[in-house]
Amino acid sequence: MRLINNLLSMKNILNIWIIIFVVSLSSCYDDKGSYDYDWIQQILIYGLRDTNVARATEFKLEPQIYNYTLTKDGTEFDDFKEFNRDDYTYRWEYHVGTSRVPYLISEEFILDTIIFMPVSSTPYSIVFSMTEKSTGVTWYSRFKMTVRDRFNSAFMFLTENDEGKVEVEMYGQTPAGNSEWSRKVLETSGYPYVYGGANSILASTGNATTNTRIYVATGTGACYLTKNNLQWSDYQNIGYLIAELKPSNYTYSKIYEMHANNSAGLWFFFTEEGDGAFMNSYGIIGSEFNYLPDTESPNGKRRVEVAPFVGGTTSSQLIFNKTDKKMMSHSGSYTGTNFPTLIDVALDNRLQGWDLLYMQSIDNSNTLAIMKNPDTGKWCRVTYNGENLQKAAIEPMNDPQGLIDQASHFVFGYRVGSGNNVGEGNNELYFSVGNKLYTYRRYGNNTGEVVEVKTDTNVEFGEITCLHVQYNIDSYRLRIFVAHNSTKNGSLVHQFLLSTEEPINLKESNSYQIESGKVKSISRYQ
Amino acid sequence: MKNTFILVALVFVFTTCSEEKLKLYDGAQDIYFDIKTGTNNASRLDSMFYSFAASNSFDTIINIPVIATGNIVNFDRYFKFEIDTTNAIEGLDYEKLDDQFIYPAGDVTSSIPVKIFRREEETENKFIKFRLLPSDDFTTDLSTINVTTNKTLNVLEAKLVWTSRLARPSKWIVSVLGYFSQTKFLLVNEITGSQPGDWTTMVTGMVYASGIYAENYIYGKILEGPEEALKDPYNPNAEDKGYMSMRGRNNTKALIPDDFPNLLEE
Repeated sequence: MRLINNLLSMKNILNIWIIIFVVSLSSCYDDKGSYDYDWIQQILIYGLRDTNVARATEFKLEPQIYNYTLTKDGTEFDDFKEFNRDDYTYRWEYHVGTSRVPYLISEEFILDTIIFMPVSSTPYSIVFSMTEKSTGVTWYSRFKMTVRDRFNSAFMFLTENDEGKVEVEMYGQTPAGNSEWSRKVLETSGYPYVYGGANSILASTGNATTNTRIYVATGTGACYLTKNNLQWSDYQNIGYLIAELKPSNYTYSKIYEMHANNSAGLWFFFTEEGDGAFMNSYGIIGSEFNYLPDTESPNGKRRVEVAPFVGGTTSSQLIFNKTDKKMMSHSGSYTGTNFPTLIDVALDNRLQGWDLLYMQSIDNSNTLAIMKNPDTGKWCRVTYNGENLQKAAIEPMNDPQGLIDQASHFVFGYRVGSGNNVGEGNNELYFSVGNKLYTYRRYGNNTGEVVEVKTDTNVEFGEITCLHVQYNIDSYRLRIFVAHNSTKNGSLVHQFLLSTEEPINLKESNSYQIESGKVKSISRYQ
Repeated sequence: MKNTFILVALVFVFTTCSEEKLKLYDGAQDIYFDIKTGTNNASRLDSMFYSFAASNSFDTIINIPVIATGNIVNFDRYFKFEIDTTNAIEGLDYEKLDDQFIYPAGDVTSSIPVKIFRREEETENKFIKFRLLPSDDFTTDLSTINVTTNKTLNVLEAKLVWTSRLARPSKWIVSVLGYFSQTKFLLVNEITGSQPGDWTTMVTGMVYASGIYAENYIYGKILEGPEEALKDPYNPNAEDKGYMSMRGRNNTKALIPDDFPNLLEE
């Protein structure tokens, strides 16, 4: 206090005015702007561009950060500073379309995530923000991300392990032309009924209502997964799709789709107990069609068992009545809630009293069947014409070793556009006995014979668990898939083409190592 | 005397130290609404319309676009607006709005994000008319734009109109799908993969298929008990006690059992 009083004594007043004057002059000094302007520090975020990614794939993105100050006029870079990641917090968020509602993806500097957003033609907005911890200042950068299907097309392998647990593995072609695996499809879908063994898988390619579905049947349930995101919700249990509500563990043993010119489809579902059902184009499965009018039955209908195969065309189908041992027709309206029932075919075409071992529709045209003549006790190769379901040919099969009786898997080879021509693998029967693959060789041999198939790579088959034929991969080429399993090689699927016109000579075109168990069913979506 | 002198001296010193603000750009920074259906001025509109009838949600955010003249700048700016007129209730029909919004650094456009709510019981269209105001960063001198030769548009005003009405669409057949409510409508769309807009042109076969699917799913959930049964606060049938049913559908099994608790009384 004393000091202040002294300072303010009159004799010091003049000195004080001199000090104030000097200070005032210095404050009027023309500032050349050579300061380190913290307040115009800038963060430049590079490397975030609009992008197109496949769903369920890993996506990694590291932004490039430039930390700098501006020159005094704010128009040019002046000084780049070292960027220290620990000085900031980070957020990656996405917005649906133009919505301002953010959904957090990550709080790490480097975005390293599996793309989980649903497939959408409308791009998502991805916003990256970083906030300086010391000041709370936030910088933003945004870009658009379109999420598409991971695969243009894919093979789907339905497997079961030793405990009967079911899984789906996919091997597909990406839009970039790469081939990639997606292994735990069923587990990640959320579907709970994954035990009881693998029954059937079908990636539907039919009309708009159902082509978004992948049907999966296990021993404890059946459902569909959505193709876009391979996800399951409880309303996707197959029981809800059936005209008469079924429990959630209702399942099928075989699921088929028939095509007309590779577009519109028909779908058939068969149970282990011999029931059959048809799904219309709106995705609803009718009541079992294996009930025939019968005035002597209490409710006017009699249940018969049907074989788990479908022949014929998309106009009318052949269904084999196992109880009465005869071929029948399934035809009628396929729309609305009118579901066809089984009716008799002409007497001459029923083959009453015969047994059916296997039946397959060939390219929505003819039908081939392996049936046993009750009079001779011999298996016969039976051909039905397409539209009219007329029996066209019966060829007794020459199988002195009785291998056909021992066979567990069958498939007829066929090629699009090759009609009913014999040879080149078209319309030839392939079947397996244990770890052996055979064909019924008719090419250049009028009597026919069972011959073991040769492969150019001398594939050593384990136990063959599934045979599959695929016709719509590329033009006019027969492709047969053989799934087998052994202790030595694990679970494998081989894809074969014909190496010559001889159906016994197959050329390996690809092989797939399966991780989750034996392959029991194969399908392909595109 | 001494104190007065100190005060005068300090004021003198500090006022001489005031810093001149660094100006980065001096051009016009006009802001105006930018509602367009195309790229040219002829497609400009003075209003936006939204209907919840075509939506699967109970709320949504409508972004009313604004755009500024002048250069893109590398710092955030703010624009202001006021609600001119409205018949909507804040907090009930729409979420309270700030009186200014950010025009982000480096962005060409910005918007007023308006979160609006669906109120099924509300039959009247709701609207908010916005008017842009000058702010520290923007002027509002550009008030009209020629949209055609003889027509101008006041681009400082924009009207958002929305409707919550979810009337039963023409293809919703009660004898197939039962009573109509917004909760049930959204469910049926979810399980069948249909879009709300499909229900004006849906083929009859698909309507019947949707009825079977809905009957099975709703009935299946009822069979699992009151905990799992689907709830429907908009079910107009008091006898369903706040649950979802297929009441109205011919020969439906999807009705609420007598022993279910009454959710309407809870």
